[in-house]
Amino acid sequence: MPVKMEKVTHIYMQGGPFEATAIFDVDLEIQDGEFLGLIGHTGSGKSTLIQHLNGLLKPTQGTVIVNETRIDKDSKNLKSVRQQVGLVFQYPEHQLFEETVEKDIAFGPKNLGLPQEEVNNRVREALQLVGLPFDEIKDRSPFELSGGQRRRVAIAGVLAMKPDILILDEPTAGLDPRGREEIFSEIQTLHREKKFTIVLVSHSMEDVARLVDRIIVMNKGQVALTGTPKEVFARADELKQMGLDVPQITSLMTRLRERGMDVPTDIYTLEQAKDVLRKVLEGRRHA
Amino acid sequence: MLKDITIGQYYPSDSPIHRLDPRTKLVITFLFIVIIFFVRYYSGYLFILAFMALTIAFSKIPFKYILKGLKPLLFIILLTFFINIFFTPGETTLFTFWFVRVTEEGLRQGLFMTLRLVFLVTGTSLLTLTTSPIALTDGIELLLKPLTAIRFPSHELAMMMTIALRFIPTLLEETDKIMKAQMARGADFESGNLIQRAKSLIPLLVPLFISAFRRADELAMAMEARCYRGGDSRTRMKVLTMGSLDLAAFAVTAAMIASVLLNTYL
Repeated sequence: MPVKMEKVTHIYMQGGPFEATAIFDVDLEIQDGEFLGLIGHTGSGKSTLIQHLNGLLKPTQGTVIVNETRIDKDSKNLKSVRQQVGLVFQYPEHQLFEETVEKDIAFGPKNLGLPQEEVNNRVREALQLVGLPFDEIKDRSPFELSGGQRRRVAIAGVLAMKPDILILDEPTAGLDPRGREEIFSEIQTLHREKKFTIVLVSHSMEDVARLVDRIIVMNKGQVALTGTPKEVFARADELKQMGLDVPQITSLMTRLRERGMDVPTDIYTLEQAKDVLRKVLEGRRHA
Repeated sequence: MLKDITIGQYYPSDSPIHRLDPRTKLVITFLFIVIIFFVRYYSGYLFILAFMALTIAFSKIPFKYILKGLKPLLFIILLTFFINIFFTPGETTLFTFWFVRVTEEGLRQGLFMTLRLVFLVTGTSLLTLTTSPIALTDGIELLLKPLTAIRFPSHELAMMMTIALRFIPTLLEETDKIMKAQMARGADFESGNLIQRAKSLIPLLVPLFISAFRRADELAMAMEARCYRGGDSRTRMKVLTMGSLDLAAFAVTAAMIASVLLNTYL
């Protein structure tokens, strides 16, 4: 289910003293099954952009097209779009409110007006997708869980809507390394096995480089760069001007090269670096 | 949607009115409110109007913005107008409509009260439009200082106000965020009957309360970590000083008050 943004502009509080243009003239296309990374400095318009994708914000100008549903500034009744595009906000555990985990995850499916049996199935399925044991956890209060568990419950709450596209805004912010790894591996599973289209908003170049197929770089409300991680991270100078950076491993490669080591600089994951460096070092030993 | 309320919202600018000491503005606003009730004839309003026109001109706030702030009060203003028209006894009937008799006295009274209300609202909103909340609470604290002699907790009161004001935008933002998060899960805050709407607020209010308590807790901790222990012998970073500008403002106000009193009693 492709998503398309055509010349989308969003202005907050138009006409007042605090008027602010958050995004300007954005054109964007998301293909089926894509794993897209969205990066940008704080205030570059990332959050505004993703809220357009499920109609939480309506464009001041331009159109968003989600699977033949057109969203423009006068659109109403966007429930079906919100079902198709699941949006997980930053710190999603702050939205939990029910007495039990089961009831909280059921909130979304119930709002869709599904029969009780289907709701139950979806809750079970969603918990399984985020790797939590249904029987153990379903009757516990979400507020007595650990931070990482709470976040996964919140993500399950969105997954239970059965969206085709999943948008995650900094899904690992504030988690410890282990919690991060778990969340990322679940996201990867969702993409590879369940064929979700995924949009990942992140500050971490390492995570983006490792996970996504295509990167979109936002700067000052506009799409500044777009391409594969290789293409984007090749333009280190431009990224630095926007207050962003390349992954640390790419910096390391660049500096090794400056010191005279014969390594490529288009390396952006630890795995690639390991292979390349091993080859170079083995080459030396034989020489 | 929640951010559209503009009445009395601080309008940042660098005008002479903005630069006035908050104490000056508080006292003048108080005098302004009192003097409005002394006006007895329409001609008295001329001085009030002149005073307000002067203030607005100096404050550099677009007139349109001030009018926008009056909009939410339109209903109350119209209500005042019509109630006064219909319920003022009078001699000269202008016209009768069904059982309603509109008299000249009623019309006069209605217009008079409406003007009073408009002046009151606009005048007082000018205070908050030109004074940042922090400056305002500082001013209130200092004005209430003499009351500490009778154990009135002026500093604590001001601190509570500062914190409350400080958290309004934060909580609005938080409300907006949680609302959107629940809407992303298909919640509907806009339709249904009264009971359904009240129920739909639970997913919004529970997280909001939790986060408000969490924030309060964190703030208390942060304040204690910096050794906050109330107002005794606390100095301030920005010391308020009265200057010639304040003197001029008081002079203009005094002139306005004198004119109104003369108009009423002579």
